[in-house]
Amino acid sequence: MTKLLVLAETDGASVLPDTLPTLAFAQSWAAATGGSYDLLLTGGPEIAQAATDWQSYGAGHVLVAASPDLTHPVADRLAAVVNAALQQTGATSLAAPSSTFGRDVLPRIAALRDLPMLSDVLSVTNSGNGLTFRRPMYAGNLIATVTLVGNEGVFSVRGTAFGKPEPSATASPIEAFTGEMTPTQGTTWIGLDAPERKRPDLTAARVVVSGGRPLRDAETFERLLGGLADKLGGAVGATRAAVDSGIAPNELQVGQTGKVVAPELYIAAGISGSIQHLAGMKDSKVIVAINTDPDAPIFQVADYGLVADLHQAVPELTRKL
Amino acid sequence: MTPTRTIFFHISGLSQAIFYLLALVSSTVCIWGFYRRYRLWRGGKPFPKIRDWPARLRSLFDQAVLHRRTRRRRYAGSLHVGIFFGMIALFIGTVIVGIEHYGELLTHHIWFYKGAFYLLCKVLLDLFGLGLLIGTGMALARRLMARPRNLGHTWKDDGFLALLLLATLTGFLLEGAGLAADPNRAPYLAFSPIGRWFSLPLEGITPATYAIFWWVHMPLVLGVIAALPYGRWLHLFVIPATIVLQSERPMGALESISMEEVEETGRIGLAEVTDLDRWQRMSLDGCMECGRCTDACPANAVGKELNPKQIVLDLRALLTTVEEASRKDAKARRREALQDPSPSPIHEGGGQGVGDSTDVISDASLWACTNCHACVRECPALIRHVDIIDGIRRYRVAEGRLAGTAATMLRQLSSRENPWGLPASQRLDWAKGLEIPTANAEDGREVLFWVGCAGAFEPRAQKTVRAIAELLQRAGVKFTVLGPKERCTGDPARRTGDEFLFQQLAEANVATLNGVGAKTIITQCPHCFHTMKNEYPAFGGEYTVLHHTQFLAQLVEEGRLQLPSNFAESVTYHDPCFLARVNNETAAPRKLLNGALQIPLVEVERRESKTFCCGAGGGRMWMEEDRSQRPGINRANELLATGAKTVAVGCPFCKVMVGDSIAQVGGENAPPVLDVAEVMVAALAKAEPLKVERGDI
Amino acid sequence: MKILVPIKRVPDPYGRVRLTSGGQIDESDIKWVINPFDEIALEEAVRLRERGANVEIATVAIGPSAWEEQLRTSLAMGADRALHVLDDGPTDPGVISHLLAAVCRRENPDLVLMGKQAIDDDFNQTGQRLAALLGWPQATFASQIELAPDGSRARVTREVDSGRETLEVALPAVITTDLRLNEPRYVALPAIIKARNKPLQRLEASELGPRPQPRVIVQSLEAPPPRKAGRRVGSVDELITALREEAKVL
Repeated sequence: MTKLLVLAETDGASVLPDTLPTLAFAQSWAAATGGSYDLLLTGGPEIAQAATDWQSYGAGHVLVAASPDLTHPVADRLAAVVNAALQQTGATSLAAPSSTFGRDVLPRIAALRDLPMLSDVLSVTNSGNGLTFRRPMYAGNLIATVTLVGNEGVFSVRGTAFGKPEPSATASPIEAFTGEMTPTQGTTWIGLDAPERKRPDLTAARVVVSGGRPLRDAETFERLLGGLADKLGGAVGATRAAVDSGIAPNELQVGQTGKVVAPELYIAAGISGSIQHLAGMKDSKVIVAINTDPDAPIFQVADYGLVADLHQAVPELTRKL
Repeated sequence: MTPTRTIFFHISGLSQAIFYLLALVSSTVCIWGFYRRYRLWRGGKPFPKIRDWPARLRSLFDQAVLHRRTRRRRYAGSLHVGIFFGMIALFIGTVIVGIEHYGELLTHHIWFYKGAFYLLCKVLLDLFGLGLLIGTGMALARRLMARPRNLGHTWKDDGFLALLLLATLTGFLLEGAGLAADPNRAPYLAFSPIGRWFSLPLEGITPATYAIFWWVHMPLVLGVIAALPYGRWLHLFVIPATIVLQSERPMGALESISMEEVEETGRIGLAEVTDLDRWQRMSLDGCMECGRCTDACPANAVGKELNPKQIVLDLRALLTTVEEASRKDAKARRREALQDPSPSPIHEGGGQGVGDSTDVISDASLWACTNCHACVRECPALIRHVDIIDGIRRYRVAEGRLAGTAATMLRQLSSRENPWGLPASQRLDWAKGLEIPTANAEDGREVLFWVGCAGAFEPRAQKTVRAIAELLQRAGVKFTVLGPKERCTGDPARRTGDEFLFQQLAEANVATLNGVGAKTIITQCPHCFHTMKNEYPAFGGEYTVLHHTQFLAQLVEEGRLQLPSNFAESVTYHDPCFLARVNNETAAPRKLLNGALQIPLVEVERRESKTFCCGAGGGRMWMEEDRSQRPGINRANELLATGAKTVAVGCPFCKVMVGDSIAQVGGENAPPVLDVAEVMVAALAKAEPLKVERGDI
Repeated sequence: MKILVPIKRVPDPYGRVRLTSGGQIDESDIKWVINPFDEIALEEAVRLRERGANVEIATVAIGPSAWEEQLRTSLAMGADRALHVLDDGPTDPGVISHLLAAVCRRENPDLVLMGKQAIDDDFNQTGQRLAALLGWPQATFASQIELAPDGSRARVTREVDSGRETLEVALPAVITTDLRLNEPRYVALPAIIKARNKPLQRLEASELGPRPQPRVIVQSLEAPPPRKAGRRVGSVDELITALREEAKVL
């Protein structure tokens, strides 16, 4: 029977929630192949305690590799561990979230085990002739339907394409990883700069909430837009006019002389839509405009336009989300 | 007795001999000084072919005689007229005396310098001499007391003026002494109106004393002659030459370069100072260091590093150093070759490496230029600073030294043929609901309306082109547009320095335009206007190109467009650089605003060809700048100060820059910034609704 | 020190890639450029040299003969030499990394600096696979790179989801670039003309040894449903519903 190993994303001490969609993928995969899947947790000594929370997702086994050396795993170290875990579990396929964690280590393991790899999988089905997958290409402008030669592979899973995994009544047994966890010579982990209440980087955020001069002052700007951004897990942006008026810092400027962004969702509050600003966000997937002026040019590019005063609409939106 | 003057009155033969010797020395020093600069010019590409002699001579007359540019400033202009004509007159006077003197020696009697002619000369020389004296005095006073910021001040400047002043003063004293010492001249004192005053205290002096005055005056004059080529006064010789030999290229039209030439030479643009052509090198020597260019520069005015005068001086100094060094080098090699006949490795001519690079001009200065041409307009020496700056830009872009948002703009332009990187299919979005036909060769149009990239993609400019279209429809003008076939004229590429991207776009546009048989083109944007009118002919595109205000003014004049009058309270107009200054069109918009619509026009001081740049030209629309260094804010303050209820513009860039700046500083009650066409449409909307048939009104 | 910068030829990111009626990529309208992330890698290599390191930069492309254009551009951007591995066959990251490993065994670079992903297939695998095949350390998504003065190590700051991680890798290593590493210089035509004299070497892929076959097979391509024209919503509630149900971004 064919087996898939799910590599959980951890921060060394606990398992991160984006592992859930990967488990959902594993369930789809299992349904399509008639196979089973195991879950691998790697991290420092504390990760062992997390294992009990992950027994109810239908994994055949929950394998725990806990060691001080794995608190901050670097790719070559982690790849070696996962490689050994594949052998221990007898899995011939591997999946992990397509976060920077997954994208860093999965291809390395794929090469070590001479397996093909698919990045950003959106779906897996059994076409009758084997497995068929879908994944985005050209920055999401095209969707490719692909197959693998041999049907075994490594998969990085796009979280927004899979929901939550089905819970299982049977508890997965916990097993200890029996392989080597020695550090490699080549790479040294120096440090991680992870600010406390960090918003994602403007150019990489999935959601951007942006505002213009109508926000009047820095305090209102941060309160209204920051509040909405945090609710959505997004970043905050600003127009040139807002930056010039001193209500937003320079690094937030989106536009032809500022940053160019292409998030999934761009909310423009109190922005008229001058071409300099549009040049910085026109490739956003979904654009929402909130403005009191029904003739503002921004409405020409917005997918959804709300003619309203942002001082009421934005807090309302934040509240109701 | 016949009025005349004894030349060399009581100056002994020995003194005369010494005089001739000193004159020889002084002339040699002068000629050498000039030659020393002249040979620096020889290295560059030769002067352009001259076809239009009448225009040149007219230009020479305008500048050298009428002093048109110099006299733009009253005080400085007047003093220059005094000094210039004073020196010319005295020079002619000396020549006359010289000819007379040798004539007398040959013929042994007085030749022509007598009688009425003599008396006329006397009066004129006195008056011109006074002009010279006053002019020099005014110059010294301005220099020492007013101390203008960009004039520059060295001991040489003061020294020469002082020398000139002394020479003139002693000249009058000498004249006075001559009048006093020679009783034969007493009856004709009236014809030396100034000299006579100087003769009063010297009454009764002896010829011997006269000689002393002569010995004081003569060396001073010879000193002036000798000093002429060694400072700013070299311009006296150079400027007439630059005027006569200038290129026929209109202001703001840059020179092309062919791909073959770049392939052959491996260079493009001004990489080294030796890349300056002959005329450019000569023009640098014509720089009188007046500083008017820097005074007019909008970038300099808002505190940026750019200083057009400094660029000229820096390049001039570098050229001198480089050429002198290469001369010494060549001499040394010749000497070596004479001593050692065996062949030595050939030095690469020209480029010595880091030493002669145009890198003396910093990136900050170079990229701050908006190409507004205020410096070029002001310069009495006709120096084309912008050509030099854009030449250096060509080189630096070719070297990959352009990065940042301007580079992104060039990539987008290269990829999508418009600087904002938007799809060509969207180019007619502005015309939704207006039913404007697209052009083809048989459409029987009257004019082709070139919408431009801003008009197609930029929201505020879209409003302008809609207004223009409405007006054209009202006037019954049959017009078509190119739609998605339009591409950027290439102006941002050329002004930023990507010459070949410009040529690519220009050639493609000319092919499209010729393909639809374009004859008359009207543009919304002065940059499109300038580029197609002045630079496309070099690529085979000869069309009649009009700015929309020009065409609309024509329609009004022809009666095809009738405008209601006096609906708006007041308006002020911001002249676009590329329309008003570079292309001399200032009347048409005013004919529309003030003439036809009769809105009270409140003018700013920096208007028409003195207009102050909004800051967007030269590719700067796509470059970031510090909040405290925005020409747009400077201009907005000036426009707001007029108190006008509307600000009218004629350019989509100006509309954005001035619009944003006025919104920034104008507060709640800031006046709207509208294109002239929009003002016209608003007036019409307020008056009568659109009548479909023309002639119905 | 020798830096190898693999480059890939991709369609211009400013253009929109379209499908023909047969469901293939419509190549008629495509403007080809160097993959932007690879440009960033090359720019970084050039900057390392400009900052004083004694660096030789070689670019390599694995693809059909038309890809020579992009290698020429890479020379214009500052590479010292270019290597063209002529290969017409279908590929996937497994194939490319295998061929690149063979190139590395020939060239013996001290550092392989490459884009993290290609903007056409967005795989983000080749660099990591190459590192595994060579047994070298890897540092992906680099936003800052510092070479040790003795050239034995590199300190790399990586952009990760939680922030910025710093690693030190012993050279030789593979580093892949993130967008935030630098902004590449603009290359105008005269630079390309000047670079014509720089060496460009050609090699058949078969000279590198037996070539594996791709195992990722693209069966078909489809465009996602077209963007509907924008519409006005009457209230915040309506907006939330639309974002949830229609746009599916919440």
